[in-house]
Amino acid sequence: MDVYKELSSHHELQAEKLLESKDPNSSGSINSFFDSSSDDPNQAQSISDSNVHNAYPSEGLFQVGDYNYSIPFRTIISKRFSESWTTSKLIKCQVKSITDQIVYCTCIVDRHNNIFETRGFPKLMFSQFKRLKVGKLVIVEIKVKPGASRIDIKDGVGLIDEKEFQSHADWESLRNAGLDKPFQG
Amino acid sequence: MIAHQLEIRYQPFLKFPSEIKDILVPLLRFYASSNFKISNENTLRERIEISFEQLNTVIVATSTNFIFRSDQDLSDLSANNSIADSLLFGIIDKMSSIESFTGFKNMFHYSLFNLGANDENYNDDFLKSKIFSPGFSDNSSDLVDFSAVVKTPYKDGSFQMSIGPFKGMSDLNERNVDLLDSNKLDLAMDPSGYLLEMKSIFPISEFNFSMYKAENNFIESKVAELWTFIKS
Repeated sequence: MDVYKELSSHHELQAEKLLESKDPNSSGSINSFFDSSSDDPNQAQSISDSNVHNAYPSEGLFQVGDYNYSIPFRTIISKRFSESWTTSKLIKCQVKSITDQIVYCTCIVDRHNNIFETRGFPKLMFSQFKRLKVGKLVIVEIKVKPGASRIDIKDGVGLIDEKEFQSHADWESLRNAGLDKPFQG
Repeated sequence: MIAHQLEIRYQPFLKFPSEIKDILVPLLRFYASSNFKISNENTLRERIEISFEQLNTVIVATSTNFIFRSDQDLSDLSANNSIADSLLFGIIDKMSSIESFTGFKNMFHYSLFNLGANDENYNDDFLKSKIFSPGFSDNSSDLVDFSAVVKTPYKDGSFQMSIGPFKGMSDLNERNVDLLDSNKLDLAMDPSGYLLEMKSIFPISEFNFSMYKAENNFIESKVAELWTFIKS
């Protein structure tokens, strides 16, 4: 908590500027990073070098579209009508088996700890794929917001490396191999 | 949580214009509803911005840095299979595995929080009493805005936090912050409580999701500590 003692004793009035300035020449402005730079490659180098100790965003935060310093009315309107989700999860899966009603997938629940689970989904959710077959890579996207949730099944080609499922397949190949039985003797 | 931005800065990546599109194309296909903009195409100054409106997330890639902006909570972004874990850090993995990629420089983590909102106990006078001496507080009734800033060395870089009254859109405009989550517009239009700004920057030689997760945890722990101190 020493740092907070410092906070108390080290009160620093910054009524005029809190941190980032709106100076278009400052490194914290979007204008300085690319738009106001010349095509001189030496200058480009100096711009990037300045980032080493640059504790300011290279671009102004949240400059979506062309709106730089405020949220214009029409932005607010478009955002209001755009469905917005609070959180999202993207689970990488590989189709394991297909029945008349259900598609079972091996899903990477925790890739850092190699935790896999088999989950079943209604086959209808996969009907957008013309040639659904065992081994297909898909991403299950789960989005949540207050009062609602949505699950999308999307093509994982290009986004999933099949090798990510390899360790799971290796372990599965040992199933019923008798290695889990105690030694007899 | 109001806003969050992560920047991964690397040495100028000379093959950026020719390599980056192959990496980003699957992402565009995955998010058919995403918007993207390319400027200075096929030059070293090429800049690609992809906006995932429904997920309140934007990524920007250039030859010198990769920016990830999101309005989702840090704890959600740190979770396994979050949008950060599953897709976005895969981009950096792919980019850094390219032979011509010459290395990382530093990581800049920026977050804005709104604390004590909708609680009239946490007003300007309460915060003044916490961060200013009594004599100063008594004579500061005409103070328009103020903040307390603490800056400390951190991982061969620096960590800085500042806290002050939340003034809504004026505070956001001052920082060029455009909210991505429309649900937070009400927060900015009718501000209350305090604005807490957290910034950390330090050099890195590699980057992976675990580092991002650790940084998020660090920031969240600092927010909790500071808020406990302010409330006490």
